[in-house]
Amino acid sequence: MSSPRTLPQALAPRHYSTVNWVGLQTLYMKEVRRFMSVATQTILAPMVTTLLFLAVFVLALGHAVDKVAGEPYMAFLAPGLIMMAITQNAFANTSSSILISKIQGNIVDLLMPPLTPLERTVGLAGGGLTRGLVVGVATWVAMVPFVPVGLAHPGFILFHAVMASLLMSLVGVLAGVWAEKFDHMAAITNFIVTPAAFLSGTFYSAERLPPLWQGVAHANPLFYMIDGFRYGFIGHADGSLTAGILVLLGANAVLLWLTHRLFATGYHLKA
Amino acid sequence: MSRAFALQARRFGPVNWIGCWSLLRRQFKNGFSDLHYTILGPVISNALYLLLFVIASSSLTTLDPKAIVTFIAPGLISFAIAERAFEVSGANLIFDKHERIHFDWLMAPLTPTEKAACFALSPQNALISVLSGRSAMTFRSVLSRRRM
Repeated sequence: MSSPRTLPQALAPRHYSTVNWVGLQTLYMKEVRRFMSVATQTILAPMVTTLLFLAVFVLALGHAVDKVAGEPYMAFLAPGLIMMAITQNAFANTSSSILISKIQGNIVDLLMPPLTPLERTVGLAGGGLTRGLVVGVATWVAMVPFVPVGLAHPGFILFHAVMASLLMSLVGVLAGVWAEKFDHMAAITNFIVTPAAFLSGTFYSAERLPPLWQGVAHANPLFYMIDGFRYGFIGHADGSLTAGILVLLGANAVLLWLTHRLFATGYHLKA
Repeated sequence: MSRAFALQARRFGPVNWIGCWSLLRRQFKNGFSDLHYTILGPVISNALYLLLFVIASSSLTTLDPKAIVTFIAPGLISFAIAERAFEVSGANLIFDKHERIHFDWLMAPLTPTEKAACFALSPQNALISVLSGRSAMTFRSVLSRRRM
């Protein structure tokens, strides 16, 4: 007869401090490696698409446009295009990560580890934020040889890039949690994200729009992202910069709370 | 009891019409299973491109928006057709290979020409061109009624 066994210390419940740093870092690195391993699709493709947009609009309208906001059309367009790439990619990273995990059944890898809802939110959104910034830098570097873009206020560039990436990452998390098949995600992308990105003053100055369209533009958080980001490059903004900062901070706070709630309740994630 | 008759190799005419029809139907059903993604997506994207060009050109230049729509719409429609045509056949093939279900059409008694023809003939393209054209025409008639 063997002697009565005592529970080894290793099997006792593990205690974490306030934040499970190892778990958080693991989730974040998983999200980053996920897009870095297919960099052609996730970084190079948006970079090339953005350059194509630049070429198409400059070739189509460049000769007919004198100056926009006191800048050559190309210099006006470039920051908007970089921001468009940032927002679309930040959204795509988190939304596709969650939806594919749900469809393939490996969402348990996210739900089972000892992570709090806040850690899950931060880990996932951090991955999307990183993708947005990496794509933004890549697009900017690719544009530099063609477009004379200055750096009027680097702080604004950084703030708006981070806020926009975070915002769209969180929207992506919400969309990924809600969607149950690729068709749902395509609907969100086609009917909400792309129109919002296209019609937010990337390609034209909101100042020159009819009053109705100006009102529509000012109700769109993406307008403030692009406007503030562009101000960082060319030193001109269409709308109020303070209002933009407040809208972005407020929208991110609301989205963080909402995402946290969804992970805490297990909406569309746990049976 | 002799089963020799049943075990003979099956003969098809010059073209295996049933096989071709089955593969075409499968392609068609695949393309139409996710309507938002396969049909509405390209139509909305193209309508957006059109809107974008009209807003950008009318706010930045003195060009006539109606003339812009007339000029750009056919280009956008052919762009949508070309993009979708590439995506439908390409995505179907890669999806089948990933899911290991490409044996379904590799094993079927179809000649390489029949397979190539079925993958190339996608009925979706015609539908996308009709829908994109329809949305462009609507857009143009709205513009002619209201000066932007």
